[in-house]
Amino acid sequence: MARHGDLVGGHPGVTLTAIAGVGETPFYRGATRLPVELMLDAALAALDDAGLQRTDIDGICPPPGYTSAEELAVNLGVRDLAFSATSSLGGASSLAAIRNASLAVAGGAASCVLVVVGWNGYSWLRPREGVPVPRHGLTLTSAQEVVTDVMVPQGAIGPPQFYAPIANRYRHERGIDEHDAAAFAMAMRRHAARNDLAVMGDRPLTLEEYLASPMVSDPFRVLDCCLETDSAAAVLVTSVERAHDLRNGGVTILGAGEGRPDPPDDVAGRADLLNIGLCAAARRAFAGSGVGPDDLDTVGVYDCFTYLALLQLEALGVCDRGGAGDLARSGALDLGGSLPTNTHGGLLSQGHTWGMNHVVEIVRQLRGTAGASQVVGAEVGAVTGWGDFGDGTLLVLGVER
Amino acid sequence: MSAWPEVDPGAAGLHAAWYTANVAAHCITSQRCECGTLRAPARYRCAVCGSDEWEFVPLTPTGVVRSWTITRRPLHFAFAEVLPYALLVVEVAEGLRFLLHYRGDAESVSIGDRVTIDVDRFGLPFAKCAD
Repeated sequence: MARHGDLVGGHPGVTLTAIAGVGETPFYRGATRLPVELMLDAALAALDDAGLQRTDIDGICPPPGYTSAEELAVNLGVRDLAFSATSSLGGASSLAAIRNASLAVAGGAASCVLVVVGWNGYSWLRPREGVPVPRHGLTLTSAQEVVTDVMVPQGAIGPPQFYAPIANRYRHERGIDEHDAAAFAMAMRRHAARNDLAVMGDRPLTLEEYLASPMVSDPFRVLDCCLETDSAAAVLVTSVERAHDLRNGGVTILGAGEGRPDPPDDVAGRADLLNIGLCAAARRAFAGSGVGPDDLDTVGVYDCFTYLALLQLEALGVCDRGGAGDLARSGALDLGGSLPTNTHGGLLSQGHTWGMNHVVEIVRQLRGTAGASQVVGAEVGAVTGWGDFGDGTLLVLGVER
Repeated sequence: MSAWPEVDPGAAGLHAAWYTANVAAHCITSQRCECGTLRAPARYRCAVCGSDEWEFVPLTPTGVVRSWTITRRPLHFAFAEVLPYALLVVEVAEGLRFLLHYRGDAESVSIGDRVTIDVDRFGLPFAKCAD
């Protein structure tokens, strides 16, 4: 187990931080309220989980879009906000935000930081009469200019097309195939069957169904692609010391890191399509954490697409290059396997809250409150993030028993 | 499959200038820094030397396929008529790599193939069967 008391992020004497509360909404496929309203639901649920008051919050890390720290603050009655920060790494932003919150608490800028994400992932493409539309969507980043001006004119419109060349290169270089991807997709459905919130909880998946699934953009079939949901999730970050006295104690943040491919905004331009942001993020997150990939009892992997989840398992270091397919096929990712992964069903089978649902699940696992999905004796876990054009983040969490 | 919908890419700034340069050169171009470094997509400054002195220069209009995808379901109405279409990551002799749509039989291309790069009347580069 990690040597908690000594180090965090390699800096002796810095305050250790913890996740003291988690909260999430159901996964709506057609919500009738705005993303910010769902985020407030999740924030209140996280406060209740921690046993903290709204006014205990003095820092807010909102997602890159849909709301602001100020809008969240006024709706939560936070009258003296001391800290706010937003990182723009697409879906990898959730973990970057937790890291920002951790740094703020460790550095004394704030004492209790709300990190929240939420969106209208289902409804923005399916506008319906009488359903409000956010006035501010996802904040456009610098990458957007290359997308709009260079990629869209080529017919590259969406994530399946942006990431498919990475996945096909992955197949080509490391021998991953559709049976490997299928094994991952089926494992997510098996996990979802134990999760009351999971959109696909009552929809088991067979290999035949997977192989019959229509191709969207090779090698991605419909069943390689994550779900679209309207949902929100939140965590509260405070010091380990303070969390210790709260309702559910704290899950310690052992390490966190972010990384970007080179260049971050142009997939095609990269010398190595498989050198994803998580490779650097994992190095940074594990450094000084006191743990390594071999110490992980359970993992949350950002499974926006099956092949990319497998590639991330390799970048995380839990198997050799090209070994993630065998890992999935062997049953290692299942409950009872050597590395239960996405025990809530993941983005593929539970729902899509930018991977913050993965953080919620790992926190429950490490608390020992994951119910039917509990990994017995789980003490150390990690969550990966993936966003924009392969940006990566890693959060390493642990508890002492 | 019908013909690729040739329209103005509607780009701005440096990217618009690139398309204009492609039209003028009748082939795919890239920025060349005063230090000699080639770069694409267009950037304000050179990542190697930091200079903002550059010009567009023609590139070898052939390349090798490093990766690919074939889009089979409509992700946008503008490209619904040309399904299925292949998108290729093509590396030219100068070492630069581009995402290019392929005008031809989408199913016929694989990694390692050599393709020809052409530009349409709006300067949009595309790949086609090697001459």
